[in-house]
Amino acid sequence: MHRSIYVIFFIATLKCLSAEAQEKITLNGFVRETGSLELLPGVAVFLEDSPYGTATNNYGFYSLTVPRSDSAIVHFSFVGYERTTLVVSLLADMKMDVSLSPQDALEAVVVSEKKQRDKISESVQMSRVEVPIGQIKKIPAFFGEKDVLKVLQLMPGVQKGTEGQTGLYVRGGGPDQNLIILDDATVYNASHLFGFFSVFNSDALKSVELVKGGFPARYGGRLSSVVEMNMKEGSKEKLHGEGGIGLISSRLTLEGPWGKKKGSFLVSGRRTYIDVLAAPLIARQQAGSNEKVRPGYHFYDLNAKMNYDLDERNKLYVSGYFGQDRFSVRVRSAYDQNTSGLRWGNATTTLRWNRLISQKLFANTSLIYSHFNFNVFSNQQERYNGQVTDEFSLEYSSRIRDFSLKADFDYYPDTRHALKFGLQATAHRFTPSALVVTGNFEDTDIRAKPVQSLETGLYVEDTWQPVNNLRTNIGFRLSAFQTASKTYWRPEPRLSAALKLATDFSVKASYAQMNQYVHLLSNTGLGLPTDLWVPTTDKVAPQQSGQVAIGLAKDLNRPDLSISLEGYYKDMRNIISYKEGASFLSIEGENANEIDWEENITAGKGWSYGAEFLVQKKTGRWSGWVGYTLSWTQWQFPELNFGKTFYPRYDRRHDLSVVGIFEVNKRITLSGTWVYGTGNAMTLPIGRYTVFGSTVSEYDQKNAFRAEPYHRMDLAIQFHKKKKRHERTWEIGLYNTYNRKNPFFYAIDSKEDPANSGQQVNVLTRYSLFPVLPSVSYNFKF
Amino acid sequence: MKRILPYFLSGKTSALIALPAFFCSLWLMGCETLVDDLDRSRLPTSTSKLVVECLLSPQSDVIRVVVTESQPLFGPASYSPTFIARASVVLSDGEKEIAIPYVDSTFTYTVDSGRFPIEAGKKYRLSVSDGVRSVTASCVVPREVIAPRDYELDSLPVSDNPGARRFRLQFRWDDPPGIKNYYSVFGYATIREAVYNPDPPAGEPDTNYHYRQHILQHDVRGILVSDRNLDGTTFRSPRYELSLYGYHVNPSGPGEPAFFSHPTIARIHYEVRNLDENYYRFYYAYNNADNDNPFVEPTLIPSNIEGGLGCFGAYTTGVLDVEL
Repeated sequence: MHRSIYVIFFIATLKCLSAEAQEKITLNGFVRETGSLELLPGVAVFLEDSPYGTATNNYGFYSLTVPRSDSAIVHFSFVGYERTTLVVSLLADMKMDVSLSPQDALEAVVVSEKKQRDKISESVQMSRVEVPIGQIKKIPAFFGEKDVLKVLQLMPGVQKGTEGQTGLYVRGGGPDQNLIILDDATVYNASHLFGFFSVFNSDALKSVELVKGGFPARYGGRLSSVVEMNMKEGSKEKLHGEGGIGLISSRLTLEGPWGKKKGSFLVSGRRTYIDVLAAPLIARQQAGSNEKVRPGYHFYDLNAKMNYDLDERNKLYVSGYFGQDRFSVRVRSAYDQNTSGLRWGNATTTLRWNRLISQKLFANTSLIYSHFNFNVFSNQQERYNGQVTDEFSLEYSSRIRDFSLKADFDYYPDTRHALKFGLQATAHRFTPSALVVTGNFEDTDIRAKPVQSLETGLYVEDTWQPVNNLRTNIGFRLSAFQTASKTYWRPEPRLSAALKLATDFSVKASYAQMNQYVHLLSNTGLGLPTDLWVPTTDKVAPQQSGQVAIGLAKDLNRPDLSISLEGYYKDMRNIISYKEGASFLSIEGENANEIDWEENITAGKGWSYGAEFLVQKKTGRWSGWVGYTLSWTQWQFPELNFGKTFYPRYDRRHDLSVVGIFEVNKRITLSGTWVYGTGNAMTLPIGRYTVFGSTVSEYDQKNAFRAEPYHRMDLAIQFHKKKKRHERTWEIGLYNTYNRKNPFFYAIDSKEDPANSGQQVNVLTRYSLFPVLPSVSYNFKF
Repeated sequence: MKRILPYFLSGKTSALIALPAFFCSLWLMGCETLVDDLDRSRLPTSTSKLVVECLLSPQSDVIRVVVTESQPLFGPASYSPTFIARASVVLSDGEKEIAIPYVDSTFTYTVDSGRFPIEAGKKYRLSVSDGVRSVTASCVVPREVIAPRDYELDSLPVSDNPGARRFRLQFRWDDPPGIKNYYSVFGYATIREAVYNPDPPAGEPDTNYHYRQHILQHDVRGILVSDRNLDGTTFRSPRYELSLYGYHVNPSGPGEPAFFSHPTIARIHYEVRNLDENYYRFYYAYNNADNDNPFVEPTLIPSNIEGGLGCFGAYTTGVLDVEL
């Protein structure tokens, strides 16, 4: 048996070497979208009837070194686009730029006869989720607001938190363990409206990819997932626009060429207007009242991007995201005025320079700025005869500011290797909390000292195909984090392999070690802006994880389906949590002059394991997916739950998502989703008692109570119509169609006992957030 | 519903006329109450348990045990502690034991420590039974009595307040190396202040003084500490600050002196309690239990009462008492 394995391996190696011995040429170029000339990442480029293939990088560049041949058939294939096939003579190195035309879903039925190469069984990467932006726009959404992160929540291995929240819980990890990158810039708090909407405007996005295991070495800094989003570059053809008017917000995107079509731009904005609409109603309601209350809430975001081709080999990009939420209440009377509220927002800017150094070497250098600010404010003014007689103000803020330099290289040395290597250095400045109180009380200025730190990562990875049926990605990342007086060095080996067992059928395995140097302290798990980002320090060690995953991947041609089954085990160390009884505003003590958040936290370990099943159909008249996850997550902290293991809040035994999109005809699209998830684990008191003079609650184990299961169905119908100069879509949606009363939180109330009138008894009350919610929106593009 | 769907599917916009009615019905259905009580079968169940509190100290004059019972939450809403009066409460040190009697006036089981001396370094066991429920607990009295070694006291004038002073006070003690120690601290300052009495009766001193105690307060992080990672080092208490303003009385007539009460610290009393681990863990969680705050993780209070709740702990007390 062993001998025959050696013989097979020897023959395979010889075959491989003989192929290598042939004279080779390099084919390279950029793949763009027809018309807009938008560069397309992830396009499969391969030679027919050969094992040679590659995919375009994030900037649409590919390089493929293949044996010389008089005639070869080269395919360019990408989901959502018509496949382009070229017959070429590969006699010398050649540059070949290609354009792909976007595919109409109905037409895709016709062309699906042509074999699509974008197959999960062909890729070495496992645990990766890709959702075409076009599909995201068709899936029903809360109040009709399309949300990238909420669509990712519908994938196996990815769980949502509480009702309506955008936080991602990937394979037992917390919402802070996701590296969310927009054009290379890290986004810290990716939510608007207390977590109900994500900050990403899908009109401005070109691609979205989620990796939840088997992480390539180019990614680092978070334990559980990478959500990589790239903004569109803007059409180089002519001015285009896209927008929508919804119940909550409206949005507008404009894109077009500039600089004699050597460059393009994109500007996309979104703003809510519930405050504007409600203002006259509130004013009318308070007419005649001495006290005027003016609540206000809005969020906005703005994406902008410009790029310019300096020459054939050099391109420059500048992109930015700016978004802010503001919630405030102003109470005004003749004698006093109080203005209080919350403000939080992100700003990111990325300057990138692409350089094609040679046919085989592509470089990208980025300068990145990212800033997150959270602010609570309150101002109280006492007035007499219109004059301010006394004033008190409080301002609490928490900030993060990053400057990064990143250099990435893609090198394609020969047929069977594709290397990526690079480095990233990020200078962080954290101001976890600062409280400034001024006024008629004693002035207070309590500031946690800003913490400066430097995070660096150096990586190399090789996608290597040692034999035709085996693809591997072997990588190594060395990350380091420098605090005031300590430097943490962490080697991170990465390995993925895919062995093709039969046509369109692969078995895959991966291992990845990850380190995380920034942590999120959350009391509520709701993704509120009050959650505090804190860095690794001399006392607080980086979080670490190791994840093993194995899986099967199968592609079917009829129907055009991808099927995957994966199992994983992940262990996490040095994960941190608030101590019991601590919160983000723990400022106690008469003489506190410095807040030491490190005293409020405790470190522990966790582990998660489970199985995920996904059947997905990305194209065609019917598309969608069914995803199921069976998982267990447990934590153990010496200082929580008396040191015993417990299920964290979002441990979820079963999680099921069904997503369907049906193109009835060119004018109508129907879509629906159904989700089911085991209830959250919660800590509930079971009794009360008096000890040392105080009445306290008796608890069983931490998180021993399970909330009721969550399930919900959403439906939507879209009516499309092409007008003379534009195309419009009416969308009517129903959120929570069958009006399931899902738990948002539970509270203990007392009520009269129905069996014993006159006696009050304690009951557990479920508070639900959203009943069935209809929505309507109008979208257009030109 | 059946009639509306074909309209949607055919894309006839006339179906939009039917939409408001369709949505209104859904909205009304959805706006039924979003608040519901859970069925009792889904609620966590619990039974009433004995709750015992007892702290032993060689420096204490009495041994006092309080026995109450817990009340399951999902039952009657009203709650007041029920003192268990007819329980058997037995304290033993492995060689001898004492049944502690119930004292009606204090609702506690109390005995003079002279009848059962508590010794440092010794292990004690407490058994409580009310005939139906029985609980036991044990603890070891810390061996060391650790007194404050010294203190620092300074004062500063308070701006814009003639005569007023701000005092700052801090104590130090040495942690014995090689053993786990847990401390709580307690102290007070005795304030002496002159009382305005312009015409004292004959035979009485010209100046009378008023004395009051000022408890030295700090948050729990300052008054409850362990020597983890600090074994064998010198501990510093929190720095206590107190401002004494006093009061002025203007001269009652020409040539009469003005009066100022001159408040000052006359005496300081500071105790370092060396706690056993049970007591420290209980006390720490107990002080952090702010379970009414929705933004705080609930605090689970540990208990070393097997089969019940509460705390059976022990401590020794070292005292620094200085007259200034």
